[in-house]
Amino acid sequence: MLLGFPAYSHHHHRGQAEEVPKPVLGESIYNLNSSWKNQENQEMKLSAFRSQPVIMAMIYTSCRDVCPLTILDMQRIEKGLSEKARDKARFVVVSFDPEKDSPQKLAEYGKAHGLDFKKWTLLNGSAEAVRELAAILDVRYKKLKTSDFEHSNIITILDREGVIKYQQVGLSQDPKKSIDTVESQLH
Amino acid sequence: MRSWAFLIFLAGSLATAENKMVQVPAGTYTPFYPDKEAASGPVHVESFFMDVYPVTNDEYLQFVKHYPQWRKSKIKRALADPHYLKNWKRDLQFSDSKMTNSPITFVSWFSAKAYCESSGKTLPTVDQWEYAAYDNGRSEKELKERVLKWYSEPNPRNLPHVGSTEKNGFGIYDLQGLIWEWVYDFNSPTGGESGAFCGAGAGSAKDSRDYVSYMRFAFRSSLKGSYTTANLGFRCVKEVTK
Repeated sequence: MLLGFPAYSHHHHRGQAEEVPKPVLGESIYNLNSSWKNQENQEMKLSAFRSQPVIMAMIYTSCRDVCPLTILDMQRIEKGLSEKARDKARFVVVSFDPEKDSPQKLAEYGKAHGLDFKKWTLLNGSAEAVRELAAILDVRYKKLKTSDFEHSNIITILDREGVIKYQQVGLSQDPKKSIDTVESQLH
Repeated sequence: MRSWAFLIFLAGSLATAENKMVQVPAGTYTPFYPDKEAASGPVHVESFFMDVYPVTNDEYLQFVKHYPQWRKSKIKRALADPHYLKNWKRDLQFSDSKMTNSPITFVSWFSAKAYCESSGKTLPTVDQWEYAAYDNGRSEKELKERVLKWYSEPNPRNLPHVGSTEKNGFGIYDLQGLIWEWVYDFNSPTGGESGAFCGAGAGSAKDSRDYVSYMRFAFRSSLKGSYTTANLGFRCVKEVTK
């Protein structure tokens, strides 16, 4: 349900003198309140990535066509980052396919691609959560009758507040602009 | 005594909610951009309830009264662009009393979706909307002529009230010729968008002479979730509980 309340409202109920975090910026994708499960089956919100620059894309694991290239493109960005940036950057891969891409399936997929789960997170969410996230990222997709997904290929760079700073559109693009955008988050 | 009062209240509120929806029977229609991979035949649509009219300014006002985060002054920029509720004077006031029963416009997909969800409904899918609009091909030629005429006219200063255009065979008003309407999967790819895409994609349009549908699909594919504009509103649907 997208009747989201500001992130900080949850911190008041215990009556403790907790520091109220700065509210999420109006332009941030973290205004989406959807719940997700990562590859370790832990429930989380997108706002968990707040304070790190994020490199985000959407795929589905049974894609035999081009989705593996998206992961490669993200890894190209990772390899191009300075050590400092690589330490801070977080890579988030979201599945279009909640039915087939269970957290366990995502964990297997991640392992098969040699992804470091300290830096890479794969997410499973409801069909509605996926539709909303795709909408906010300008990703177009459709589940076909064959259970494949037709979808655009976009890698999104988010700043530390979850605001979209740059999008790398299409496969096998030059990662330079994406790399520079991530680096610029860390000055 | 009290149980009678409760039953009357319940019947009254149910009547108000349900009178404004109509049950569209299950059926089939042929999409304008058929799936290339599957046999390009008709698509089956399950029965569903659809709002008889688009959502009005007054109805949207009740929504933002209850949910302040969707008010003009409080809306998050990621969820609606700066033109959100542009034709409202302030948070809880339209700029013209004539707007009360005219369709709400200058709303984004996120806000339209939230409105529908607040009353246990959802936005119609492309298939549901197209199937309802196709109306089993009733008066197809006249409908297309009327919509072509609508496309050619400039936006009126004040949109007419809902129910101003035709009621179709399902009992639904204003699906075409009043406003454009948001759909749930507006960001579903349609034909002619190959290149950046994984997957086989859609085939070409089923009828290259159907300019009305071309325009509608082209308009939808130009939208982003936070967009708002003068002649874009919405209505809701609800599933049939078994």
